[in-house]
Amino acid sequence: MEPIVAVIVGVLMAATVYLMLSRNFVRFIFGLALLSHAANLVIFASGGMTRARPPLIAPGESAPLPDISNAVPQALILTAIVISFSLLTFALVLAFRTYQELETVDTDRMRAAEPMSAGADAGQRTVG
Amino acid sequence: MNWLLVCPIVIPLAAAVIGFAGRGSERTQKAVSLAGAIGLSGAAAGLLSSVWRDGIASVQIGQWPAPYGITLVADHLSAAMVAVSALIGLATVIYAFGDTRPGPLSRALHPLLHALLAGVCGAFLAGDVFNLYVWFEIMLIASLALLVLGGTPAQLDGAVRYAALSLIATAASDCCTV
Repeated sequence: MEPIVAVIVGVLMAATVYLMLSRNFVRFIFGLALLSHAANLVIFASGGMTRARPPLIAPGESAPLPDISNAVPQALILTAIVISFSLLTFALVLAFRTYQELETVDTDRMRAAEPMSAGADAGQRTVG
Repeated sequence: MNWLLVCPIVIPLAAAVIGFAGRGSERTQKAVSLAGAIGLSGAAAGLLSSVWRDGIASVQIGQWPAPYGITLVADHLSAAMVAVSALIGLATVIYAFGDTRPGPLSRALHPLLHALLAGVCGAFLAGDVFNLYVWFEIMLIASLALLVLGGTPAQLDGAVRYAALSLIATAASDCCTV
């Protein structure tokens, strides 16, 4: 089971890097969503993946049976999923408001906070 | 003095919640904000003196043991950092009284500032990496909201860059909890 998850994480990370290198901010946010899923899958797989063995302690025993999957990483990613969804929602609203105010989602053309100086502007014009 | 460890987190959180609830009246909000900042400074000073006198303090919330429960630890460095952030928070609250123009957006300033302080103090007092990550996220979401308060083009443009870089960093720190 773990090799399949490792391949899935690799594919997700490749898609993340491809999307995050885009200048389109909306694509960047989609890459961010995939990135958080890839990170959560890594943590999920670190707890072990076994079938049909609940992490319970049998009566009379002091420790759970061997070959169980660890429940703590699963509880951790439950929290991480909630947090990443809230941040994703904030990023989507931020992208929408930015599009309303600046009328672009191209991060190269968002120059409201850092306006181009006269020299840099002239340099770009000769290059362009 | 286990409750001293919880105070620097609970006081700003309570100030944020009461401030959000009382956003209808500006005077109430300012009074709550000032009281919260002074209370946080007092709690941080108490924590610092306690750690200075008795050494490193730690508490398991609800008596749950370490891998399952939430651990709070205050050593000398983290107690000093909590005291420094409480002092800066108090100074910022007093400065914000004179600096902000009254309006609907200024009503969100003080509660968000206290949410930010709760995240910062929680991050300093967290006893394991995962809780550090959670408190860091609380600090991050409050700082993002503070950054775009007002919604001018320059603020939104800056927030896009800040959000992009910090969200990559949080995904990396999420991976580091393994």
